[in-house]
Amino acid sequence: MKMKVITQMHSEVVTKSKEDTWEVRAYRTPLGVVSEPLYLEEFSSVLPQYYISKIEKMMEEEFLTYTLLRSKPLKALKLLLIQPLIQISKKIPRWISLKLDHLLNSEITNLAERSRFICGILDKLMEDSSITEHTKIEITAGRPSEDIEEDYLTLIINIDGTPQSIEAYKKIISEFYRDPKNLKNVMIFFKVTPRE
Amino acid sequence: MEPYQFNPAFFKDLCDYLHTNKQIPNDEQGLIDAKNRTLVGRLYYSILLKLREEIWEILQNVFYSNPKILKKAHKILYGRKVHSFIPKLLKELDLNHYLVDFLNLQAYRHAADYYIDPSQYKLPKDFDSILQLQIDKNVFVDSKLFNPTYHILTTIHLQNLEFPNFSIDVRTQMQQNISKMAKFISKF
Repeated sequence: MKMKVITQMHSEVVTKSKEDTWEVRAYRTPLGVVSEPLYLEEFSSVLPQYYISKIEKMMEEEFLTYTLLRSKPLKALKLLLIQPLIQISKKIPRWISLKLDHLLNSEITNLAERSRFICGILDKLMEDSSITEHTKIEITAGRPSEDIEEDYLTLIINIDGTPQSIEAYKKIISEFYRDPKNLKNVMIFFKVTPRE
Repeated sequence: MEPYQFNPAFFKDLCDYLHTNKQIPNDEQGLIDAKNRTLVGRLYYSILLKLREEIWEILQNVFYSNPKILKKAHKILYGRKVHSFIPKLLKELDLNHYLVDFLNLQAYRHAADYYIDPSQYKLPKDFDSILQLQIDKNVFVDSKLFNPTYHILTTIHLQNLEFPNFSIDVRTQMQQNISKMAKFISKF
């Protein structure tokens, strides 16, 4: 018996065959679209094999290590959630770098919210060349030890030490501090890295 | 005439004066290192003492009817535990933006006072889930590293904590979380 699952967000149609394997009959969702966490959690239970393999290929391209990840659907789901961050780092790679392993070990809901928040701000800041020319942002996250009950997203702002870079750092944190409620589990530190 | 009382903000004024005006003779590296470590240490205390007084005042208002909590809080704030109490309190109150400001200052102060090699500094265990804050080995001896660091600590992080909003935000959060706070203090 075949079963149809139609997701509300992207009108995907996923079918389940008798052999209990998933296949995609038709889908229009581009990779990287992030929707509500609730929707994604529901979607994870019907994540098609095709989708997973496509995401796995993408993960290889992103040099992720597999050892830290627990299950295929979960890692695929998490990768989907941080896809906006990947996209934004690809747009301007010399400005943003991601350390993704820990990011993929984070709680799903928290990760989605924080990623969205950070992406919104970085997207705005990347238009300002005085910021992108004098700073480099490393984004890292996770829950490295089992006894810690919270996940964090951390931004290390590398500045080149020039007055412009200090001003740029100030602009970056001012933007993040604008609505402190969103800063729950987001940390921003600086590091001086003079140019060679 | 009121008796004289030290204002910790003068630590910061002295730091700025020394940083701007006091050149080390012959650029002797060891003395530069010692001077910059001292600046960072005094900078930290200028804000620690100020925050301690503000937090104590807020606690007295919020827990005026709970002498047991006040007694415990006073013991913490005016003892050695104040260094770990303030960042944990900010974390407990979800005031992460102030926590980051404070941790930046505290990290450099700890690195300056306790580590011959500042790059060995690690954030306290409660925050190491967030990040191993990286401090450069030569931060206190290399002006290219120290001057921007000092500038950021004073004009951004210290200033954020000096702003009157700090007190308002701590008070508001504390009033909204009275029982959580009482538990936090009594367990500390």
